[in-house]
Amino acid sequence: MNTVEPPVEDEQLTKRAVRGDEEALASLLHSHYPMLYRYMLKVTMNKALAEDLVQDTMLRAIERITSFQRRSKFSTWLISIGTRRYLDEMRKQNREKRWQTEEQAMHAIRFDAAMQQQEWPYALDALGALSYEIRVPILLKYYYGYAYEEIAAWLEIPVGTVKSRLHNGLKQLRKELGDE
Amino acid sequence: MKKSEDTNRSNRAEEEELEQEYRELLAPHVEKWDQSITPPNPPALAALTALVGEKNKALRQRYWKELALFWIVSLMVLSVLLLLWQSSIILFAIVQGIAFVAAAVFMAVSGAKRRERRRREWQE
Repeated sequence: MNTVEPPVEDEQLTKRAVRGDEEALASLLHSHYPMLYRYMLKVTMNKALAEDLVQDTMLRAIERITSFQRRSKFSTWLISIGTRRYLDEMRKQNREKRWQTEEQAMHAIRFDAAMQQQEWPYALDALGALSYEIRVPILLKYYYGYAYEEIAAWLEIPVGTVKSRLHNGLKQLRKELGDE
Repeated sequence: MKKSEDTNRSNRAEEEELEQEYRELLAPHVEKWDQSITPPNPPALAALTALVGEKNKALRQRYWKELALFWIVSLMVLSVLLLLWQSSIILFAIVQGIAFVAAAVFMAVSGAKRRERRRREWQE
């Protein structure tokens, strides 16, 4: 599980931010920026889209901070906003255009890995080739360790659908990587 | 009772199997990739504070504008209805009836659409 454990002061900052303290909210957004970017890049596999979504998520967080009920961590709340924004964005985009952009985006990420003299494993290509509707729950469940119920709420689908997407996604990956 | 325990056990086993599969297929690669990601520099704290301030100011302005618009429209509607009531009680009753029927139809249609969407999601 890779859910980021917040420093103790985050609790205090969140409390102040919800009450309208602008400096506290700015400080929280500043410290969570890298975590949110890492998350958005992994789910989108597209650097430009990840950056746009991070900015958009931050703007939405500013708009909605007073309605944040602090039942979850601030990082979880940001991830839920970012996930919903990503899904909205993907539903809006034209399928064919999306495929072309995804291909270009993957090239950019592979290029970055090559620049850092790192191997880009085929497993990550296979993850990128999965539909976003499958990739998002896989990362949320197994990389970030969120519960089925949370994922279902963010994706606005039943828990059973989350489970079947995980099952089908991993089956597809196993097939793809087995054929390698 | 025993049947539900068996089902729970089998579900747990299946979940563990999937998690194991993730660990074998992807976990080390995603972990390594995550560590290599260099996020762009976040905006300066002062710039973010200014942004939060500006955004809040704009939100407050929008809130007051919408509230003012709501009151203006409400007063207009109430004035028209009052005039109608004074001039013709029958016409007033007809307008009220139409408004009630329109609201009922709107709620029925939106409810049906919502149920249909949920049904499709469950079938998915």
